[in-house]
Amino acid sequence: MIFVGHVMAIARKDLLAEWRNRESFTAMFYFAFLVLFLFNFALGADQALIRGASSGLLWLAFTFTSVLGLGRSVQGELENDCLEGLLLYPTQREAIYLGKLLGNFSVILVVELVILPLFAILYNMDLWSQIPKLLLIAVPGTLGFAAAGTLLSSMTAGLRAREAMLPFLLFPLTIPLILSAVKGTEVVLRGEPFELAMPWVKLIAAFDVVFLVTSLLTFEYLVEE
Amino acid sequence: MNPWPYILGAYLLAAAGMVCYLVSLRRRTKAMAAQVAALQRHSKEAAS
Amino acid sequence: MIGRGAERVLGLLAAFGLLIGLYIGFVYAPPDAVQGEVQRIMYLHVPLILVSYLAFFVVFVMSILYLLRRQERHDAIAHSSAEIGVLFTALAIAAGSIWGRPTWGTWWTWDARLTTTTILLLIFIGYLMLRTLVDDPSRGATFSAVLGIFGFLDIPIIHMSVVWWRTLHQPPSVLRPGPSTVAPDMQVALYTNLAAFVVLYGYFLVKRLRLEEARCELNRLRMEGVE
Repeated sequence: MIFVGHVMAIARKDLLAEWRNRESFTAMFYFAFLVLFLFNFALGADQALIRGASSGLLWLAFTFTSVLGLGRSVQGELENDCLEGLLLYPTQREAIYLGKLLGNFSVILVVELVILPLFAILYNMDLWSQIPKLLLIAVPGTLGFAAAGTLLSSMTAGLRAREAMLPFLLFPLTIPLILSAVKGTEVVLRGEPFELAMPWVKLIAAFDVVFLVTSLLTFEYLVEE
Repeated sequence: MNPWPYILGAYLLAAAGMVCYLVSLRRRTKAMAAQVAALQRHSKEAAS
Repeated sequence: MIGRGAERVLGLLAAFGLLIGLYIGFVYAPPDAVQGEVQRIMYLHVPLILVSYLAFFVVFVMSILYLLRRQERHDAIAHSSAEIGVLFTALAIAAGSIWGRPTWGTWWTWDARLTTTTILLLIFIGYLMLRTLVDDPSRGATFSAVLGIFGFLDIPIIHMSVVWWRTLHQPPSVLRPGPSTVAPDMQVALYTNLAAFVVLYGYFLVKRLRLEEARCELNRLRMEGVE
């Protein structure tokens, strides 16, 4: 119970900092909007083409935006030696990881929830009735992406080429996750029964479990020094 | 289709890759050894 | 570590094994019933890919050992093995692509195994890039160890996802390379070549570790110089 409290405290700290300036949120939201907007020119006005590509489009927007947010989140910790202070906090390393993960996950999810209706309006799609099903895919998908991203961004934070290195490491590792999310979303957007998306949801769940457990086991080594 | 250009191409490419790797290893090891030797000489001079 | 003499023996053994492998692959083994002569690329492609999986498995094991025991030796082996694994994977993909052109009629197809292997290559290229960017050796070793573990654990998930991706929505139009039952003579050729490539991997690893030894020595001297 104390452990959960510590996790919440760290996540709350991140979300509060984010709430005060809304820098990451604004940057992520605006970036996602631009991605959605630009795709229109890449695909042309062909409605059938857009419908076919829509779930891939949506997830590309989600993942690019997430990378932006993940990089910023850990960068904030490096300024003014905040990370040192965080490591001095009397709790297990696992709590720090989970706290950061919860913070990142919440911000990304909020951005996604704002993008979804925007996407529906811009591309004239009827999403409203599908939103619960979409969430069943988006929530675990985002969780896995945030779990891998939180771990990797703590590695790339201090590097010279960090803006490039985070996507270089994160995208190949999360390909199965992105692929499953795109395929699952495709099923939902086509209005097919949700059972067809179940294999993909299970795969996302497997990814989440593997990455969460391994991250929890290895995070303490990353922040040791 | 005559398959031999493809077969030879594949094998030669692999051989070239292996040889290039060995050459690169040799060069890197030599460069590293030279650096080590230079440092050793330097520390000896500093000591004497 | 291994002495110079043993290293030379290993090198000769690898060269000898590869020559025998070439002989068996090109002369002894019959041409394939379906694909004809071009199937001989298999004796290059399959050993390369299997050995690169071996190399990444070594990275995985050594990464875990490094995190647990903190010995530079384990990190040196992991780093060396990853580099050789990337080389072998890249060559295997290239050889496979050349094989694909006359058999499938295309250089590249989004076949499940091909795609999985390419993703693996991308992950471990990232691993090597991360290495060069971290200045502090022990931090770099820790980071890469974690990445090595993730990269290896990710393989089954990647494979599952890609196999489903290719089969759930498309009829299995892609031909599997090679016949389903491999003739005994072909098996002999395949296993001989596999053994030769494993020895070659060992030889590369020993040579690569020499470089790591020199690097450790250099770091040690630099530390002394600072004091």
